[in-house]
Amino acid sequence: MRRGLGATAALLLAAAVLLPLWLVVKQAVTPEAESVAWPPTWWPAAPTLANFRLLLASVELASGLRLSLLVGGLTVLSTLAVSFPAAWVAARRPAVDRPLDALLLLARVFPAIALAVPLAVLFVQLGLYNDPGGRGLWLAHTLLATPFAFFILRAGIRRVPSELEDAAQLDGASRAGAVWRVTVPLAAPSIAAAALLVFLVSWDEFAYALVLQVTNRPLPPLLYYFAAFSYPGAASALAALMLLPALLIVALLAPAIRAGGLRGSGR
Amino acid sequence: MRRLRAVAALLVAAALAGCEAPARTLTLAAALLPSELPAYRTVLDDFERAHGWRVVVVPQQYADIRRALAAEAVAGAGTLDLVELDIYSLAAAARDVTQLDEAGLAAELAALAAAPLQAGRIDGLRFLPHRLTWQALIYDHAALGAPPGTWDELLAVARAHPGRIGIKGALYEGLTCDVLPFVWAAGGSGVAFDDAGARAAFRLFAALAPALNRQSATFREASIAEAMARGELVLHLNWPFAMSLFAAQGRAPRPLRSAPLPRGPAGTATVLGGGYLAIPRGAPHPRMALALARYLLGAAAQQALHERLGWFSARRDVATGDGDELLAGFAALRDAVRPRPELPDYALLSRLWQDAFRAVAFQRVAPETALADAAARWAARPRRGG
Amino acid sequence: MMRRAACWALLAPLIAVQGLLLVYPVAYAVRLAFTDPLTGAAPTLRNYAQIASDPLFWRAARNNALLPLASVAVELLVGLTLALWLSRRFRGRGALRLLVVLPFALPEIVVLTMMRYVFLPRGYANAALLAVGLPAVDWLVPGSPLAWLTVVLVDAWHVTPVVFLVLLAGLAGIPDEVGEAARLDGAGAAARLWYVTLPLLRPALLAALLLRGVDALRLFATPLVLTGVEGVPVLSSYAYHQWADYGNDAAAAAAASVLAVGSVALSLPLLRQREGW
Repeated sequence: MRRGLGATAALLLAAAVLLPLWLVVKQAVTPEAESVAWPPTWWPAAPTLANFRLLLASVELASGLRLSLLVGGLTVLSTLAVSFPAAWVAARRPAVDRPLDALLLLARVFPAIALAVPLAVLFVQLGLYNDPGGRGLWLAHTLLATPFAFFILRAGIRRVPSELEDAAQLDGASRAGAVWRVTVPLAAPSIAAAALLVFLVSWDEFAYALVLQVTNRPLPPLLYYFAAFSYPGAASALAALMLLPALLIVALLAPAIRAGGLRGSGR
Repeated sequence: MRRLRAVAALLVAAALAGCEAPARTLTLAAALLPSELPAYRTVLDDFERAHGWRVVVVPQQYADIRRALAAEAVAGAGTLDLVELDIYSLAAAARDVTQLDEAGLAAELAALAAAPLQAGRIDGLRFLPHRLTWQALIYDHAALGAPPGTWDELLAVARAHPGRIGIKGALYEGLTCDVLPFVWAAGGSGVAFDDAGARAAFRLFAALAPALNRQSATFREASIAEAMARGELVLHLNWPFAMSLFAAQGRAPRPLRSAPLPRGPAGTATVLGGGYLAIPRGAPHPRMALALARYLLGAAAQQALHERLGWFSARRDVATGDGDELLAGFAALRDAVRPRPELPDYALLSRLWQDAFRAVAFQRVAPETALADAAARWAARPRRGG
Repeated sequence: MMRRAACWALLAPLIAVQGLLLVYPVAYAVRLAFTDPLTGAAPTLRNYAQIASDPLFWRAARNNALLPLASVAVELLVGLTLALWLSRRFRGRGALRLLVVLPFALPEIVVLTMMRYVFLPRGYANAALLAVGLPAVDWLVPGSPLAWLTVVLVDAWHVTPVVFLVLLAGLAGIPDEVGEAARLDGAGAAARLWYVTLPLLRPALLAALLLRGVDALRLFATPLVLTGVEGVPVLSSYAYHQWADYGNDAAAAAAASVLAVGSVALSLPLLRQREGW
C-alpha cells in the first residue's frame, strides 16, 4: 500500500519532468507540417533531420555555439576569481558577512530588463557592446552570477574549520599558502559545484544576451528568433542542442545532489 | 579534486575556442524568416562576387533591429552596416541613421514609385524601400471554400465559425493596421473618431466581437500566424511573410490561401507597410553599405527577390506578382494600399484606435461610447509648439 | 587575525563588479524616469503620471504583488513535500532527487518555448485531456484566472528545485535523534512535522523564501512568453512593453523603478529575519 503510493508518486514525478523534455526532442526530429497539425503526435510519424539542416543553413549556429561556450567559460573564471576571496572573508568574519549577504541579495532586486538597456549604452561607450568575443556579455554575466558563486563558496569554506588553516600556518605557511593548500582542496566540491552552476547561469541567460549581442548572438537569442517566427521544429532542434550541456552538468553534479543537495546553491 | 581539474580543463578549452578576424565583411540586419535566408543569400551572390566583400546577413525581428540601432547610435559606433526597418518606425529611427546622397542614387530613385520613396524622406532621404508590404485576408480554404468578399459575408463566416476569427488585438501598432482598413473601407478618414466610416467599422467590430478567438487580445503577427497554421482560426489579416511561413510549414497554398480584404460600404483599402534600408550613423563601412543598398534596389536584385521570395518591389519596372497562387490576394490589393496618416501625433492617434477597438471587442463597450471617448482624448491632446 | 586593509583588498573585486556594473545602469534609469521625454526637463513626475493613467499598469502592479505570493507558496509547498519525501531512506531516492533537480538546469528560454507548445489551445495538454475523454481547456485566455495559474505552475516547474535543494540541505542538518526522541514521546507524524521538523527547518525555509521571493518579484519572461504583454501583465513585462512597443524608455524606467522600490521594501523585513543558514 505504502510502496504503491511511493511508486505512483515517483511515476508522476518522472512524467511531469521528463514528458516536456521528450516533446522537445520529438519536435526536433518531426517535420514542421506534423508539428503544427492537430491532434499533435507523441511520437514522430516521419522522423527527419530537416530541422537541423534548416538550423545549419539559416543561422550562425557554429559561431553562436562558440560564443556561448566562450562567454560561459570566461564567466566561470572571473566569477570564481571575484567571489572566492570575498566568500573566504565572509566565512571567516561574521561582521563582514551580514552586510555582504544583504548587498548581494539586494543587487538582484532591480529588474534585468531595466538594467540591460543602460548596460548596452555603457558598453557601447566602452566598445564592449555586441563584441565578437562577447566581452560585454561576459561582464554582465559576471555581475549576474557572482551572488550564486558567493553563496555556494561561502558555505563550502565554512565547512573547512579555520583551525586547519591556523595549523598550516604554524607549520610555516603564509596565510594565502594555508588557504591554497588546505582550504581550496577541502572546498573543492563546492568550487566545482559553483563553477558548474555559474556556467549554467551564463549558458541559460537570455535577457542580457538579447540586448547586448545583436549580431554576434549566443544560443538563447538564436532560439528566441526561431520561436518568435514560429518554427517549432527548428526551435526545438536548437533547444535540444542547448539541453545537452545542462544534462551533462546535472550528471556531473549528480553525486552531490544524490547525497543531499548543494548547501547554499539557491538562485 | 580530480573532478575540479576536469572542470577547469573543460572551461579553458571553452575559453580558447577563439575569436575570428572579420575583414572586408559587411553586416546586414534584416527581418527574414529562417526559411527565407538561403534564398536571400543567393541574391547577394552577385554583389559579393563583384566587390569581393562578404555580406553577413543577421536575420532578426524588426523590434530587435530597432533596439540594436538605437543602442549603437548612442555611441556613434557599432557593427551594423545596413539595417532593414519597418516603415512604422522610420520617424523614430531617423536620427540614428545617415542622410543619403540623392545624386549618387539618381538611377535607382528614378525607378521607384513616388509614394514609397516619399515615405523614406524624413529630414532628407534616409530610408530606401527594400520591399513593400500590405495586409490581405488569409483564410482556410478547406473550412470556408470561398473567402468572404463583403462585410456581410464576413459576418456570416463569423456566425458559422464562432471563436475562429482572429484579430491582432495586442496593444501595439499591428492592431491599428487591422483597424484602419475597415475604417477606410467604410469611407472614414482614419484621423477622426467621429466620422461615419469610423462608426460603421466599429459597429462591424461589435458584431464580430462574440466570434473573435479568445486569444485575440494578445495576438501579434507571429502568434496569430501560428494559431492559423495550427487550425485554430479560419481567417485573419496578415502581411505576406505569413504566407511564406505557411508554405514552409506545408500549410499553403493548401489549405491556407490569401484573398483581398472584404469589401466595405465604400470599397476596399489596406495599410501600407514595408521594409526600408538605412545606414546607421555608426556604420563601420558606410560607403560599401551604400553600394550594397544600391545593389539591393537595382532592377536585377528586386526582380530576384520578387521571384525567389515573393516580395513586392517599390520599383515600377518589377513584375507585380499576379499569377502567384500563394500571394494572389495580396497582388489583387495593390491598388487599395494606403499609407498611414502622416501626423506629428500619429503615435497617440494609433494608440487611441487600439484602445477603442479593445474596448469594443474585449470589454463589449458600445461602439459609440468607445469612439466618443477616443474623440474626446484626441481633442484634449497637448498640442506642440503653440 | 586579518588586517583591515587585507580584508578590503579581498572584498574589493566583488564590490567593484557589483558596484560599477549596477550603479551606472541604475543611476541612468533613475535619471530617465524623472526626465520629460519631450522637453528634457528634469525632475518631473510626468512619466509616473503617464503610467498611473494606464489601466494596464495597475493590472501589472496587482499581478506583480499577487503572482510572487502564489508562486512562492506553491514552490515552498511542493519543494517541502518533495524534500520531506526524498529525505527518507529508500531505494531509488538518489535518482528521484536528480529528477527533481533537472528542470532547474534547463535554459529558461527552452522551458518557456516548450511550455507554450504544451499549453497552446491546440497543444499537448489539451491533446492529452481529449485522449482520456476530458474536455479541452483554454489554458492561456488573456486575463483569465486559469492563465494566471498556468503562469504560476510553469514558473514553479522551473524553479521549485531551488527550494527543494535548500530544504533538503536543511533537513540533512537535523539529526535523526530529534525526530526519534519525539516519536518515543508519542508524537504522531503530523505533530512531529509541525512541532519538531518545521521549527528546526526555519532558517532553511527563510532562506528559500528570501531567495525565491526576490526573484519571483522580477518575474518577466514566463508571463511574457506564455501570454504576451496583455495576458498576465507584470511590471517587468509592462516596462518592456513601454520600451519595445511604444519606444517610451522613460515610462519603462518609471515602471521599473516602481518595481525596484517595491522589491526592496518587501525584501528588507525578510532580510532582517534571516539568520545564518
